[in-house]
Amino acid sequence: MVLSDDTKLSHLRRGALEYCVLALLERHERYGLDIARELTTNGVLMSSEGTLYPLLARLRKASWVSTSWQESTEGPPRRYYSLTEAGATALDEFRAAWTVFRDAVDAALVSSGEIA
Amino acid sequence: MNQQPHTLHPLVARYLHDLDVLLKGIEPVERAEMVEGVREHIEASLSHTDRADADVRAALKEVGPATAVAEEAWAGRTSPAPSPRPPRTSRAWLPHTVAFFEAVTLLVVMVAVGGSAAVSSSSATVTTPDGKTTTEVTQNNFDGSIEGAVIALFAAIPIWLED
Repeated sequence: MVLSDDTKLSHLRRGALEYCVLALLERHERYGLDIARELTTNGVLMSSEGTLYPLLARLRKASWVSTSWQESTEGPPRRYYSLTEAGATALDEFRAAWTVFRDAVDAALVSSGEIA
Repeated sequence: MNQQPHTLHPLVARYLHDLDVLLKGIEPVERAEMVEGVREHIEASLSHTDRADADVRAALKEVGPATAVAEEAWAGRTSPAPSPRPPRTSRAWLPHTVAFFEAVTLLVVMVAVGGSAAVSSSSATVTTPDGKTTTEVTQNNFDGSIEGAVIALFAAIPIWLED
């Protein structure tokens, strides 16, 4: 089975992208456009900015992020997203799991000669 | 808090409507949250522009197709539009009903094909002594065969019913 680049990336993103969003909120709160622009910078993590919002809705529903409104000097008030304690815990757990997962994938790919 | 600082551009309004329709079936609060998030995103991205059609189109292009947003929204959920009824083709009575009507149709086809092939006639144009031209049937044949009907039978047999 040969997958297109978009499909490959889509498969790889699933399950990891939401933690990337949590990581972006780790140091300070951000509004949606700010998060989206960060994630679409290289087109790898996210291809369409709009797909961020279903993801943010899931994170809020899981109580991993919370929202608040703040005035903006550049237009209407903006909804800011911030990391909750539960979200920070989930991010820590993902980091530990991701390290193990990434090392295992790298080892498998190296041993099969596809990278190195 | 719901900020509506500008009248929505028609293209934005249509996009948000399309997205809302695609999200139909998702829990209303979550659905509204997603649509509102996209609306705020578009508003923020247009804040430094003249809001001309070209600006709006560019902003919508960055947001991506409503179908892509909806696809992400539906990811991991059971079904975009759960149907209380099974698909028509999965109903148990359907193959038998189709087989019945197909059998009736086959009989009609057999009679029509076999009958039309069996009866033929020959005619000739005759000029009478007084100069009039008439067409007369000179020979009636009943030499058709049943082969056509048999071929039609095998061509139309519902083989798919044998599961």
